[in-house]
Amino acid sequence: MGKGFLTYASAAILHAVASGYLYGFDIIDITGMPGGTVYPALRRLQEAGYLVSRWEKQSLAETQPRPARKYYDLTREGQQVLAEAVKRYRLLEQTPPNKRRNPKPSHA
Amino acid sequence: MSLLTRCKQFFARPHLSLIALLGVIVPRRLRADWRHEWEAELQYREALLARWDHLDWRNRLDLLWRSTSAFWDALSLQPRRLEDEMVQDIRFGWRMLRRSPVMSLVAVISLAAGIGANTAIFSVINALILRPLPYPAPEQLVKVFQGQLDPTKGTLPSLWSYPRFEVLRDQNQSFAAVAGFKQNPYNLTGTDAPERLQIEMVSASYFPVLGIQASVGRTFTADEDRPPATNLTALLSYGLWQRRFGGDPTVIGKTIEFDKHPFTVVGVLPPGFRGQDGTADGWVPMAAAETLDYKGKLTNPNNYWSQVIARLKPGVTLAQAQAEMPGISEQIEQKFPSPKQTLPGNARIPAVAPLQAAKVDPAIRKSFLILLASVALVLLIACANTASLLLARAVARQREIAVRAALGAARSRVIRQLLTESILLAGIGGGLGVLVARGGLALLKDFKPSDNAAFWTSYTRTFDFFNINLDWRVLSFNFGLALLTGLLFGLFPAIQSSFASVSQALKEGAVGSAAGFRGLQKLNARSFLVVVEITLSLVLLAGAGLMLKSLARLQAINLGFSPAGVVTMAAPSRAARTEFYEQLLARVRELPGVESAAVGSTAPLLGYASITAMDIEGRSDIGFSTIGVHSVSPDYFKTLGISLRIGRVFTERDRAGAQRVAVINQAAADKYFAGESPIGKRIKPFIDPEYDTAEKFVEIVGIVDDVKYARPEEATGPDVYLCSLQPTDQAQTLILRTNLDLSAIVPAVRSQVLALDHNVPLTAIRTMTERAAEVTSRTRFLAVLLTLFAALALLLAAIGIYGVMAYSVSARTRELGIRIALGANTGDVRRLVLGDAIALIATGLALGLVTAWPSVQVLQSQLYDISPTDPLTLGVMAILLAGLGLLACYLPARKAMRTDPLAALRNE
Repeated sequence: MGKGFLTYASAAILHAVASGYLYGFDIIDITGMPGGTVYPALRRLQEAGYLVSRWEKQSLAETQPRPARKYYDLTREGQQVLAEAVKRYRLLEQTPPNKRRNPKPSHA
Repeated sequence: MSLLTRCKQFFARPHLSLIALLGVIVPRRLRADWRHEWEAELQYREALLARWDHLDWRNRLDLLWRSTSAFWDALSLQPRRLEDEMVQDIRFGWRMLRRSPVMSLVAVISLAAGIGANTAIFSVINALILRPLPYPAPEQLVKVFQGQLDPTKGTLPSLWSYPRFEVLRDQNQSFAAVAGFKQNPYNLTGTDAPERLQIEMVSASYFPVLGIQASVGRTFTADEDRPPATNLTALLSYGLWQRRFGGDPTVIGKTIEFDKHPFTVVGVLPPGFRGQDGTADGWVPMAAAETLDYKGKLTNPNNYWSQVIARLKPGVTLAQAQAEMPGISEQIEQKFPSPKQTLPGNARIPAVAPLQAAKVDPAIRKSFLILLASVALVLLIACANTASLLLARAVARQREIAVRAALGAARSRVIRQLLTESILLAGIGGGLGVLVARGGLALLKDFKPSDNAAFWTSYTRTFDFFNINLDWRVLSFNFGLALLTGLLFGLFPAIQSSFASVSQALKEGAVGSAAGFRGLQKLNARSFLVVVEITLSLVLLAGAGLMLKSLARLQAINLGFSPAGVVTMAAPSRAARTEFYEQLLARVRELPGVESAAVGSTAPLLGYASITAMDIEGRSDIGFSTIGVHSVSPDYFKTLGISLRIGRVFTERDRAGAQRVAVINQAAADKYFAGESPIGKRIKPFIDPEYDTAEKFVEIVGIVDDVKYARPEEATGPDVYLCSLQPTDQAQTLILRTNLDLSAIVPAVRSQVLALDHNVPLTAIRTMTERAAEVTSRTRFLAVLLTLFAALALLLAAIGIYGVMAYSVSARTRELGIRIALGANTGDVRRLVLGDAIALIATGLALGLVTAWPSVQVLQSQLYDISPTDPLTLGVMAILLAGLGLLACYLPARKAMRTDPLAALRNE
């Protein structure tokens, strides 16, 4: 992946993460892209150093009987390329409203 | 856990099961993490939506749909495999192989030879047996034989007469279509360069049966094939069209001449299609038979000349078609009662066989199956050898493996590492094996068993050696074999090595005494492998020995004439009369370098021109008897060097109008005139068509030696020679005795032929020496290849024995040193070392003899004049193997004898 140039799909995913959609499935939902695109892109973005991933706090997950989820966050580099990409892909600005920049507590 | 519970669990929450399943293809290092993430997401989503049991189908489907995305994710992670353990194993294995280059080289070369030879032979089997016929729905194609298996010859009578063929074609219920075909050579005339063409005479249904369409124009119509033929049509092969007509499409509608009869070209067949013999240049309808050949060919029910193929109706089985045949036979018999001396009752029922099976001579097929078995043995020996080498190396690596184990490597992990190495070896061997196979195939093509088509009439031969190549089936065979080989020779040493005792190996020095103890255990395993190698080698050697001996006996057969310096060629012309050949002979005799010249209806080893029924004047006791009939010019016997036994041969005075005379061979004299002199007796061979002469009987004037016309290994039957100057069959084969090369004599003869008649081509040019080699080619083919494989096996076995002995001597250096220091002399040491070797070799030979005895029985049908259990051959081969085995021990034994006790003990 060349530095400073993002495909629209990658940019949309970074944008979604920056907007607070931190989990794979949330990103799928908000971007409307299929999982078969989103997940490989997440892996690539992570490898390129634009994203980092962490595991959700175990205690949080344990409140429900389910395993801890993995969430993604932008690195500084990620924020820079996203800022450049937003200039190119005007369409991105119309997508989702900003959300809280924290691991989203589950509320099921 | 029962399968049922597993299934239940799988379907209880299919989205999670799918993730577990897909996890398998995720690189191992990332797997746990990957599964965790996906499961967490799915379960979270599930929890969000309420529990699975309460989900409506839309949500269930959504979850399932999401889980399938994991497949693409898993795929995208595949490049990460490079960091996987397997790749590490391969890298490490590669380093280990490079560290012991000699051992790796020996292993790779022997594996490449073994795998390559297997691939080459398999590719022939593939083309011969496995690959389907190149026609649409080939499984529906059958060959219909005119009668049942002839128990005396083991062959099916394949030829039909035209009227009998018509009954089959018109009365059957099983076949969608039935077609007849027969290939004959005719001259392309009416041009400046006459050419002998192979023309397949076929019924109009022939092309629909095969499912072949013309690539230009059309094939024959039913009208064109309805006798009597008025407007004769012809089809060209693609090759002939390109060669003689420059690929010009306007050739359609043009007239060409075969033997001076005009034919209208109506189509060109697709490239590659050359008829059932694989050699046809053109096609004419069967209705043309009486025009091109002779009257009565289409009406005489007892003139058998055409073969028959058919296409089964959809849904009709072979057995159903066969079940209909007795009825057909009945109808044929009612319409055309068989003459009394021919096939009896049941033997007349036509036999239906798949065309696929009929396309290859069973003898050829069998030779290749034997060869495949032999190369499999060679590969087994190569495997045993490689296993033995790996075991030897495992001893050297004992410490490394012990250290690995000490650091916590599981046994399975160690075995996997060692197996990866052996599969890597086999993989490299397999890759090189493809190259070996390509080279081997080129050799096989040069060296293919060739034969005169006259011997093969009962088998259609669509099979063409040049179609043999390395297709996907062969390549997958090759690599499958390599994988299997790697497992085969790798598993045993790997499991052995994984038992390494940590404390033992680490405590001892690299070549300590206890390591020697472990070494002995490995030595036993290696000894076992050597015994296996010797056993298998002896089987191969015995087979090769038998074939070589068989070949020698075949070549030593007295052919009844002297082939050296004899050249035969055909100057065929149906229109040409006896005078033409007399003039030609007169001209050819004058050519410089020609010692003698003659014509004959055929020549020795070229097959019979005709075998017919015969009567003897005044004898009713002989019943139905047949005799080979040869029409020859007076100098025939002199030119071929056939000795006269009694009476005289023909002279220039034996002409039309004079008393008709005949010369018979010794076999005829023995068979029909036992205890009396045949000279002066009169016989009447039925020659078809009968010639325009009042005197049908010929008087025997001489007896000559038996001459081989067909296969040399077959007993010579009775033959009669008639003088070509008298009314008889046509004699169009030119036979010269000359000291000149083909390149010098052929143009000279050709210009004489063209000077006499510019429509007569000169074809089928060959030397008798060439032909004599050709008729034994099948035996030679098998003999040479088996010898090659046996030699390879012998070499591998020798390497194996050498390796084991060399290892054993070096492991026992200290022991030998002590013995020498205590006063053992070189003789004692030699006895000690060679004693082991002799025990190994003797065990191998004993097992080998026991195995070879039944194994070589498969060669039975391929052998001539030798029993498969010929004790002399087996004995000689056992001695050869033993000798080479001992030779392989010589170097290690010499090293042992020269052991310097001081050096050996200082080593400690």
